[in-house]
Parts: sequence; C-alpha cells; structure tokens
Amino acid sequence: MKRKSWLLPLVLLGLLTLFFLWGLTGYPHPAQLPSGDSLEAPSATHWLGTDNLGVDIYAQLSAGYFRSMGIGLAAAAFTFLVGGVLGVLAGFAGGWVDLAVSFLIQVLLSIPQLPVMIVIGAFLGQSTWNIIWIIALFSWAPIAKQLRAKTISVRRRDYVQLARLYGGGPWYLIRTHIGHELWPLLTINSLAVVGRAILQESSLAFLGLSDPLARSWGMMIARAVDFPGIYRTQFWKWWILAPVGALLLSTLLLRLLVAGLEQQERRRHPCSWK
Amino acid sequence: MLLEVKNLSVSFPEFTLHPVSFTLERGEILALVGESGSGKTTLARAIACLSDPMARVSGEVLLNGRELLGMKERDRKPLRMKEFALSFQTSAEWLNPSLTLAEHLREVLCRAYRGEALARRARELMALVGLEEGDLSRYPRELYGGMVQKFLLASALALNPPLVLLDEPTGALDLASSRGITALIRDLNRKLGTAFLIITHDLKLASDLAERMVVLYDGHVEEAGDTRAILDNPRHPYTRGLLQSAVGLNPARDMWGIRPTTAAYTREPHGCPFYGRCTQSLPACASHAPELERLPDGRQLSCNRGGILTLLSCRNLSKSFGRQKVLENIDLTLYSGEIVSLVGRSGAGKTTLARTLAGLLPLEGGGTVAFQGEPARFTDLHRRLGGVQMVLQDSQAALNPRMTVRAAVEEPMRLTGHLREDAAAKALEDVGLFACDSFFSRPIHALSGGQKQRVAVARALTMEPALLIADEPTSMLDPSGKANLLRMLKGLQNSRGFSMLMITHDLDAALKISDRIFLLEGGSLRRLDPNDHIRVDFDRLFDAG
Repeated sequence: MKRKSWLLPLVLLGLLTLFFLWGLTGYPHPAQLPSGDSLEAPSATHWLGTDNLGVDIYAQLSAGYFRSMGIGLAAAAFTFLVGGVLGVLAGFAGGWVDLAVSFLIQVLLSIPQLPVMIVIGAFLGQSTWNIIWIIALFSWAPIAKQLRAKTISVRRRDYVQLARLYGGGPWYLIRTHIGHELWPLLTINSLAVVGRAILQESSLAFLGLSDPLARSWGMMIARAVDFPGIYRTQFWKWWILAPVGALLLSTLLLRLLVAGLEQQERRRHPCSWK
Repeated sequence: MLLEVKNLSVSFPEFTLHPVSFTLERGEILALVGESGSGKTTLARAIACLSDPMARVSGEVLLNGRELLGMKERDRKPLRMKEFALSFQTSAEWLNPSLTLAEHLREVLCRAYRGEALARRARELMALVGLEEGDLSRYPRELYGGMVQKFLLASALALNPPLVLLDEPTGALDLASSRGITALIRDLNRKLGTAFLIITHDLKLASDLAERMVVLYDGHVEEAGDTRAILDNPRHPYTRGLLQSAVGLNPARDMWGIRPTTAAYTREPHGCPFYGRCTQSLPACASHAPELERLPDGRQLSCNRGGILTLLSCRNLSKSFGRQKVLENIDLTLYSGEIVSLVGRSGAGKTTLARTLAGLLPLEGGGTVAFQGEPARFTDLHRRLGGVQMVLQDSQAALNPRMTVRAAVEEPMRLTGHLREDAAAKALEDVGLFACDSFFSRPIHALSGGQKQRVAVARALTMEPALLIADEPTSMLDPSGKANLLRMLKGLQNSRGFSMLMITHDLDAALKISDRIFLLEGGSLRRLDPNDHIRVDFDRLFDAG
C-alpha cells in the first residue's frame, strides 16, 4: 500500500495559494493604499481588518505571500543549480576541484549566517534581488556537501566503475548511474530551501533590510511591533497574528511537503534508456 | 633403429591418411593416439602390409633398414611373427572358432619349434601372459575378453619378435583386465626388450606405457613428442581436447568432449582437419593445411597458429597495500581455450591479482602483463570484442539496480559502440535466462541473486571476450544454482572457446571445471595437481577376489 503523505500538504498549499491569489486579484482593496479607517477590526469589508494607516491586512498578506514565495523559489532555483553543479563536480572530478569546492563549502558552513547576512544586506542596500542573492549564497553549501558525499559513494560502486571501464564519459555516468541517486536529494533539499528562505526573508525584512516599498510579512510584523503599546490594545490580534500565522502555515506546509516527498523517495523506481 | 616410417600415406576414396613419419627404437614403446576414425588402425595395417586392396599406399616402412612395402609378400612372409607381429582390435575375430588355443599357437610356433620344444614354448607363453596351461585345450568361444587379449598377445610374442603392434589392446576390457594387460606389456617390454607400437584412444593407457606418443586426427599427425611433456603441456588444441575428455587422467574433473564441428562438411583438400572443432581457428585455417613442424624442444606440431595460443601472460607482478605485500613476483600464463582457477584462502590476494590482470588496479614495480603477445592496453581490451571481460565478485553491486535487464545487458555494447541486434537476447539465452520482452523490461532489483549473477555473466558475454575473468562467480548461490552456473560457464567455454580465469575459494568447484588450478599462498602462485591430493581407489573393485 502506497501512502502518499506529500499529497495533503500539497493540496493545502494549493488552497493557501488560491486563497492569497484571491486577495491579490478578486479582493477589492489594494495592498499599498489605505482603503478604510485606521486599525479597523476584521469585518465583512476588511476580512482581516486594517493597519494603522488603514491599509487592508488581507491584501498585504496576499502580496507578501507571493513576494515571499517568489524569493523562496528564486533562492531555491539558485541553490539547485549551484549546489547541484558544485556538489557533483567536486564529488566526480576529485583532485584540486574537490579541494577548492570543499573549502568553500566549509567556509560558508562555518560562518554565522544571520549576522553576515545583515552586514551584507546593509552593505548592498535594500532591494529584493539583493535579498535573493544573500539567501541563495548561504543555502547552497549544505546541499553541495551532501551531493558531493553521495556522488563519491555512488561513483565507487562496481557498476559505475564498470561503465567507466566500458568508456562511459562523465556526462553519461551522471545521467545514467549517478543522477538518479542524486536527483531526489537535490530536489527535496532545494524545496526545503523555499521554506527557509521565506523565514530568512522575513527576518531580514523585520530588521528593515528588505525593499521598503514592497509588502512583506516580516515588514508587517516589524511595523506592528513598532506600534507603541500594541499589546495593550486589541490590534495585535489581527495585525500581528495574521502575518505570523501566514508565515507559520506556509513554512509548515512546505516542510510537510518535503518530508512527504523524502518518504516517497525511499521507494525506488527503475530507470530505462528512454 | 628398429622401425622407421617415412612419409607413409594411405588413401581410400573416402579417407586419406596423410604422410606420417616416425621412428621406433629397439625396446621402446610408442603410442599412436587419436579418436575413432583418426586413421590409427589404417596406419597400423599399412605398417604390417595388411592394407585393404582398395587402398593406395605410398611411402616407406623400414624394419631394421629393410623396406617392407615394396617387398614381395613371398619375401615378407618369413618376417611376419618373427620380426614383427601384431594383434588387432576386434581380437576374437582373428581366432578360428574350431581350433583350440594349442592349435592356434602351433600354427605359429611350427615355424621355429618342433615336438616337445613346441609344447614347452606354448606352455611358456601361456605362463608369460598369465594364462593357465589348462587353457590351451580351450576353444576361443570359451574365453572371456581379457583372456582373448592375453592369448593374442601370447601368440604375437610366440616367435619372440623385436616389434609388436598392438591395436587397442585394452579396448573392450574391464578395468582390472586392462590393468593386467598394461602391467604385462610393461613387464614384457622390460624383460624381453620387445618394442611395442600401441594404437589406442585411451590416453591413460598411452601415458602409463609409452615414452613417446603421436597424436593423430583425421589422418593427420597433429602433435608428436615425449609423453610426459605432452600430458603436462599439450600444444595442439586437439591434444588438449583429448586430455580434457580423458576421465582416467583426472578423475575429479567433469567430462567435456571436444566441441562438435561448426564447419559445414566439405572435404577441403588442403584445409586444417581440426578447423571446425578448433576454438582458435582463423578463416585461413579452412583453406590452408598446416605442416608438421619440429619445435625447439623436439616436439612436432602441426598447427597454423603455432599451437595453443598464449592469451595473457604476466611477469613479475607484485602488489602491496601500504607495507603489506599482497603479491610477490607472480608469473602466470593463460592459454586460449582453457579454464584456469585461482584458489586460496580469503585475503590471500586472489581478487587483487584478478583485478590487476584485468587492469582495474595499476601495475606496480616492474610487473608486465601481455595480452596475445603484446603489452596489454586495458582500456582498449575492455572496450573491444574479443578482449578481456570481468565478472565482479558482488553481482548485487555490479549491476545498477534501477536499470532494466535490457539496459544493463546492452550497456557495454552501447558504450563501446558494438551494439548488435539480438546479441543481448543470445547472451541471455546462453546463460539460461529468458529473452522475452517481459524479462527484458524487468528492473534489476526485482531479480533473484542467481539471476543477477547470470545477467552479469551475460553482460560480459555480449562483448565476446577472449578472456573472461570471473571473481567468485558462485559465492552468492545455493548449491544447485552454483552447479548450474558452473556447468553453464564450462559449457559456454567449451563451445565458444574463450578462456576463463576463475577466482574462487571453493576448491571442489574449481576441481570440477578447471584445466589448471593455481594456489595463491603467501603472495606467490603454485600449480596444484589435483591428483597429488585425491586418491581414487576403485580400480580394485573389479579385481578378482
């Protein structure tokens, strides 16, 4: 019996996306401009209320979702490419290439991430692309490390050695014998980067290092927390809880999806030439 | 020199004995061996000038310097029985059923003896061959095979000729009787100094008696020389085939005859007679008959390729891991068309040696490996047809579990550019697997251990290797699976003629299928003769109690 434990998180994630898609397209209030009174409680017109400037919270959350997801996916794509290429290269080529890549990996893994991100973020200036670069820079190293180890272990197997003996080139070996073992590792780990990137982006935005004009969950939380005496009012219930909940829910669902996929991957499939 | 045969050739419309030359010294025993139809008996009859009138005989047979063939029968007759005698294969037919043994002997003895001397000589002869005096009054029909053979020997020896021709002296006899005859011949040779020309297909008999032997095949002399040297190191593929079929010489080994001919029956006038059954024949062998040539060591050999080819030879192979010396100055030669086993305890370095010979481990120090006479270029050898293929120890790891059977079996051919239609199907059928689509599309991980092992072998066979190096091919198999795989390998080897180096710790299995066995111990190789360690003792079962 096959348990598809990745299906439920995926469906929920899909529903969440649809929910926020509605907030971006069908919902009448804009995310950038005030559309009601300051700090309105949730109601039929403003589903999740408004902030101190009268901007609709649901609309802001929707915009933030796609921004966060976009940043996460972009960082994941970068990780996928760089981590994959460098990891396989180091594991396959060996020699000085391996030494250089391994050194780079070790350096990146040993640096405390957030402080350095803050420094680089402050140095490069506030822009969405800078956020993406910074997050990506720090996320490929663990993946490359795993891939390198896996590549070395697979490369030593008898069937790979034999294929090499028969004249199989690096590209052939990776495509036919090694790739299948690496692919799930790479994709699942890259997907996990999306969740982490969302959190990191929120952290940076919370610290004011993100694009000040863009709508971001981290920035929403930062502004709400900055509001004097917020915990003595009722406002935090919609102004803070909503973005924190959205953040938790989306990263949790992503995490569950990744876990489900990892489990699925333990059941192997045969490959064929076609 | 007692007998000298020079270019003796006999031709019938359907059979030709090609020119044969050999000499026989006084008191020597020479064996003419060959399978049925090789022309042994034709040769013996020609020497005795008893050829069929249909036959055209040419050449010379010199007995004590006198030419026999050209002689008139009137001149030859006095020489018969006195100078040379012969006893034939279908021995009982040569006795007259209505005469007693005494009367048979008298027919011969009357030429030299009279009266009481004759009777005494007859009794003497009976004692000589181990028959009772009372048997003299018996009729041939009252004798059993061994007695007939002994009596024929007695009558051949009647006039004490210096040369006796024996055609299959033990052919139809049981073990005990044939041992008796063998001992008798050896004894007579020693006591009386009689020279024997023994014609036989029984290599054990030849090896027991003869100092030299001549190997005949289809009317051609293939190899001739010292018996011990030929048995230890046959140089002609046919001689080796004969040796491999001789159970008596190596009781532990499985019986495998020479493969049936693959060539269509055309009596090419000038081709090599062994062409179709030889596993190392070239197309040229079909049209060009080899000459009998004398090798530096005195052996005569008739083969276009200079005898059994040396496939792979290594000299001074050493290997060490760190400080530990695993192999020290290993010399090993593998010939084409043989199975050699490398046995030894676990950790003796067997796999290291195999991998070094296959080029999977680098050569160290001054070690050299030559393949077919040239320094081995391993990458090329693995990538071409007729090269070296390796079946690795762990078949689980030797195949990508995610591949389908077809992908795995065809991989070597695809990578090396030798992909041929049906080669994969043929290889799978050869190893006893199925070549249907459903099996082809089955993933490797769904196969059993034995099937994986066979797929690994099939994969190597698609490259039509000249040398297959198999590292513990049966280690993962149950007894029945092991027996089947080994027989399958041996059968393939026998029919296709590749050579195999098998690495194993399983001595019993090695004994069954190997032509030669080497023991790897303390980093050096030692040839192992199974007969030094196995004693077969059932010869005596048939001894009269």
